[in-house]
This record gives sequence, C-alpha cells and structure tokens, in this order.
Amino acid sequence: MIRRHENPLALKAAALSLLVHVLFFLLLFVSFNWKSAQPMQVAEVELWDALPAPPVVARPEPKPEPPKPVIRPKPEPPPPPPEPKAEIAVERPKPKPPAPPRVEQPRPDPRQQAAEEDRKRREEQERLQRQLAAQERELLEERQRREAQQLAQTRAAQSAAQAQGAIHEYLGQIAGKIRQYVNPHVCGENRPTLVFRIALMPTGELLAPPRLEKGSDIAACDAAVERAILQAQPLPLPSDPDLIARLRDLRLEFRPNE
Amino acid sequence: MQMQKFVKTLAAFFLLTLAQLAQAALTVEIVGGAAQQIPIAIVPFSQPAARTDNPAAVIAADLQRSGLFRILETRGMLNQPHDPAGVNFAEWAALQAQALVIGKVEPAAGGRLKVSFRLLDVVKQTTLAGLEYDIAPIQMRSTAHKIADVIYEKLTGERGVFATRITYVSKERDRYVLRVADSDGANPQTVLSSREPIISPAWSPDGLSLAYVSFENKKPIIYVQSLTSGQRRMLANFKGNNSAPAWSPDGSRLAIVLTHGENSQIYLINADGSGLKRLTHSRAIDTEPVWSPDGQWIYFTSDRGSSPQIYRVATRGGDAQRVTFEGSYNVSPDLSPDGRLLSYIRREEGRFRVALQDLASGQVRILSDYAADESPSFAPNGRLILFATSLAHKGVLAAVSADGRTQQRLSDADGDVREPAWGPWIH
Repeated sequence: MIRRHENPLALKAAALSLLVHVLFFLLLFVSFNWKSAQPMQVAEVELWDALPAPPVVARPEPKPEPPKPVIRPKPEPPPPPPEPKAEIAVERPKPKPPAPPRVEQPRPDPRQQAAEEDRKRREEQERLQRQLAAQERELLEERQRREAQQLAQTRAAQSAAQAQGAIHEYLGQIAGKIRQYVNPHVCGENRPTLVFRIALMPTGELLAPPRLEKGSDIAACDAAVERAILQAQPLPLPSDPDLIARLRDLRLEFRPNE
Repeated sequence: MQMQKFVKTLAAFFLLTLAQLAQAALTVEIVGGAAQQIPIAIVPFSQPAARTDNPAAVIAADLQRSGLFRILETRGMLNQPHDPAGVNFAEWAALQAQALVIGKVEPAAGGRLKVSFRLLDVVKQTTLAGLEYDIAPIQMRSTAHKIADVIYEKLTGERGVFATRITYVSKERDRYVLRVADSDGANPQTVLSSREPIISPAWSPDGLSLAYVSFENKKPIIYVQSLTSGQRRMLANFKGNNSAPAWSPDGSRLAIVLTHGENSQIYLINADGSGLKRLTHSRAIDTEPVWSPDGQWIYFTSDRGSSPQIYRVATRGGDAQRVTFEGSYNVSPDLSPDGRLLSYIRREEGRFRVALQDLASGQVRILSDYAADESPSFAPNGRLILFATSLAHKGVLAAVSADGRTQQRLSDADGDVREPAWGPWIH
C-alpha cells in the first residue's frame, strides 16, 4: 500500500529534482562563465601581490614604492629591542613610522652627520628613556588603579556586610518594639501564626494601615496584633536612605502564643 | 493548543515574578508578646447630679478583675469626653490607651434612665461598639456589668461573665442566709434564710433554679428552689444524709450524695425526684460530685485510697479512676467549661489552696496565695475561679484568674461567707 502511494510521488519528485538540478547547473555554468570572462588576470596579480607584503607596507605603499625597501631595513633594527616593551603598551609602535622622515632629512648634510647621529642617538636614548619612564609611570598607574579598584571592592563588600548587619539589627529592633505591644492573652489556646504586611515611611510610621495576610481565626487576636503594630509607631529605622529602602516593605510574622 | 501553552507559560512567569517580589520584602518574626494586659481608659460617665453610682467605676472594676485589662488613670485628663465628637484621640494615644470608653446617663420618661456608651479604638480611631440601654434606676449596676461584657468580648474575643451571678451561703449572727449576688459580689439578694445550716448551693444549667441542702428539718435534705417564683420543692429526702447536689449539663438529672445509713455514696436522680440510681460502690466516703461538661463523667472526692483524692466515674456506671496523684489531700473538684482543666483544693504544708490541674498533661499549679481556701467554682468562660477563703477568721469571697496572674477579694459581703458557686450565662 505504501509503495503504491510512494511510486507516483517518487517519479514526480525525481523529474522535478532532475529539472531543478539541470537548471542549477545551467545557472552555475552561466554565472561562472560570465564572471570569469573579464577580470581573471587582474585577480591573479592582486592575490599574489598582497600575500608576500607585510601589513605595514600597505600604508606607505602609495608614496614611494621602490626606494622604501632599502631604507626600511636600516631603521628597523633598533625597534626590535623595545618590541617586548612595546608589547605591553600596544600603542607605542605607532610613533616609529615618523622616524624615517627624520632619517631622510639629515642626509642632505653629510658633515654634521657624526654629531647629528650622536645627537640623534642621544635623542633616541632620551626618547627611549622617556618612553620607559612613561611606561613605568603607566604601569605604576595601572597598579595603583588596580589596587584602588580592589580597595573599593573590599570596601564595597565590607559596607555591604555592614549594611546587612545594620538591616538585621534594625529588624531585631522593630520586632522588639512591636513585641512590647503584642498581647498573647487574647489569641486563644492554640498556636496561631499571623502575617501582616506593612509599608513604612522614612520616619518609621506606617504609610498605610497594616494589611492582614494570614489571620488567626480569632478576630480579637487579629485586631490586638494590628493595634500592637500601630501602637509601636514610629518603628526604629536607620538614617541611611539605602537601608531605609530595604526596610520599607516588611512582612511581619507573629506567633503570639509561643 | 499552542496559544494555551503560551498563556500558561506567561502566567507561570508572572507568578514566579510575583513570588520573587513577595520574597523581596524582609520578614520580621515576632514570637510571643510582652503585653500582659490591654490598656484601657474609662472616662466617668456624665450623669444626673443626684446619682452617685457611676457605671464607669463598676465597668473598670470588672475589667480589672479579669486580669486582662490595665485600667488607665483618667482623672488627670483635662478633656473628659462623653460623646465621640469630643474625643481627641491623640490625647488618649499619648496616655498609651488602646481603647477608650465614654458614655452618659440621662434621665428618661417615667423616672427611667437612658444609659449609652461607646467603646473606641484609640489606635485605629474607630468605634468598636456603642449601645444604649433604657433601664430602671435599680438596674444601673447590672447594666454596667453588661457594658463591661460587651467591652470584654470586643477586645478579647471571649464572652464576658460580669453580668452573670454567683450564689453563696453567709452566716450572719445566728442565721444562715443563702444569697445570690452580682459576679462581683455586690447587690446581694436573699434566697433563703434559716436558723439551721444551709450548705452546697448548686445552679441549674439555665440559671433559674438553685439546689441546696438545708438542715431546717434537723437533717440534711436537698431542695430545689426557683429564683424567679421563689417556690421550692424537696428533691431528695432519703434515709440518712442527703447532700452535695450537682446538676447534669442538660439539667435533666442531678448527682447527689446519700448515706442510707452507710458511708456517703454517689447517686443519680432525675430532676423531678424520680429514678434514683446508685453510681459508686465503695466502703469509703464518696462525695462532692460534679459533672464533666459533656455529661459523660462524674468527678468526685473519695478517701478510698486512704487519703482524700479526686476520682471520676462514668455516668453509665463502672469502676472509678483516680485523677489526682500529687499531694496527700485533694478535695472539692470543679471542671472548667471546656472540660480541660480541673480545679480543686489541695492541702500542702497545712495550707488549703486552690489548685488547677491540666487533665491532659496532669500538670498542677497552685493558684492562690491564701491558706484556707474552699469550694472553687469556674466562671462560665473558664477565665476566673471563684472561691471562699478565710481571712481574720471570717469567710470571704475571692477570685483568681485561671492563669494565676490576678487574684483578688470580691466586694465585702456581710457575715461569714462559705461555699460560693458561679452561675451560668443566662440566655
């Protein structure tokens, strides 16, 4: 049964697939031919040129292509030693390119070359020293920055812990103050649990009447506990607004008979 | 289907978010409570100049006696309001009052009085209760008790007992007087006066009759007397002593003690005097029966174990079980209205004091500080226990709260007071 159904479909599919394949090959062939017809050679040259040339070459290329290969090897040897330093500060290698223009200028005056070279060496040394000093300064700054960051993190952690401690202290104070007013003698013989939700103003007073979330099934007990909350106003709150924000909404759980 | 799934997922997400939000609020746990009493201010009622008995004083004394209220001094308050309009809540909040009672007594037509009061919640600044009574002047005290009951129930959630009555026997000079009084001992009314002893008064459950034992015929006989009509009938006049009547909770039967020439034994008898049935069979003295609130048991005193102790026996009959084990002398049982507590008199180191035993745990507490207590009797709400004690060789009425926190003498009755019994709520 299944085969019978499949066969006619398969034939159609095969035909369709064949057609699509043919079309696809045609398309491939046409597009390939059409594209390869014009820029074949240009493309080859570009590829070969680009590969051997170092990325630095790419920038100076537009100016003087043939003479530079000669000039470059000379100034380049000095850079290798600072390279490891340069690795730390990636930005440093960039100032090097300006060096070649300086080298080219002294050439017209061959007499003062020695003095010039001397001066140049000194300058170079000074420059390197400055560079070193700058790098050291930067390293120092970096270290200081890291230390400051660590200090800040430690302090943040400490203050978070302090805040947590303060929160707990105030929760305890709030519980203590309300407890003074809770009268367990009107809450029956069992051990009811009551839950009230309150919202506080920064003054420690209630923003709205306490909201009973779970009652004791004894109306007088619920009312007595609510009165206790109201009478305990103002509740003790810290002066720090951040801490107040965390104590603003409270869930009060009462177990008067325990 | 997919839509439903999407909605469900969305709902679940919202619920989760809500739950997280709910958790965000810090929880403060408040276990127990330090407040022992409800601070309440009761302003003296305004009343016609001729009247001296201010209901506020009666209300304050009632609430104070319950042990659950702290009555705040109001005399220092400049503003003594009698109407809600005159109340400055801040003043009373400053006094630390949680509740405030104000009211007035005004003359009404026909020499009657109109008594009105308001119970105000100082903290929430709302009215909790307010009632008006049209009364005869003689009803002033009972009305004050009713107001105290309303306040008590509103603030504690329990029914008050101030408007109930008590009975006791008082020996005045050469006469024995059976009296019924307000729950505070005031306003005593004579039920019976006799040259011969009267003992063991017991309330019927409807509060309309008293059973008692009178020696007026030179031997103890049990009578039942109606408090409304004053008529009485003989309930038990069998050979020997007839004593210690106790009504069943439904009022259909009484437990009584008969000697029939032998030791005292407990019997059951119908309220009309028929159907006598012996309940205990011992060679010892079995006496002072009381019914459990469910009517299933009779608790009584017996010296069958050589020392007087409390036992119980099923009202259907059977063997008695011992209930008290501590101490060498435990007598005069009474059960709390919920059947969970047993009060009795224990003798210890020569002192007779009110004891309270938790029947489930067996734990016993001594409640009174006196030395010659007798006949403990529970209030209908179980909060207070009334008893007689002897001070300066004179019997007086006293009450202790079932939690033992407050104990006080009731207003002085004339004579030497014995055997009090607290009456039921009258519906």
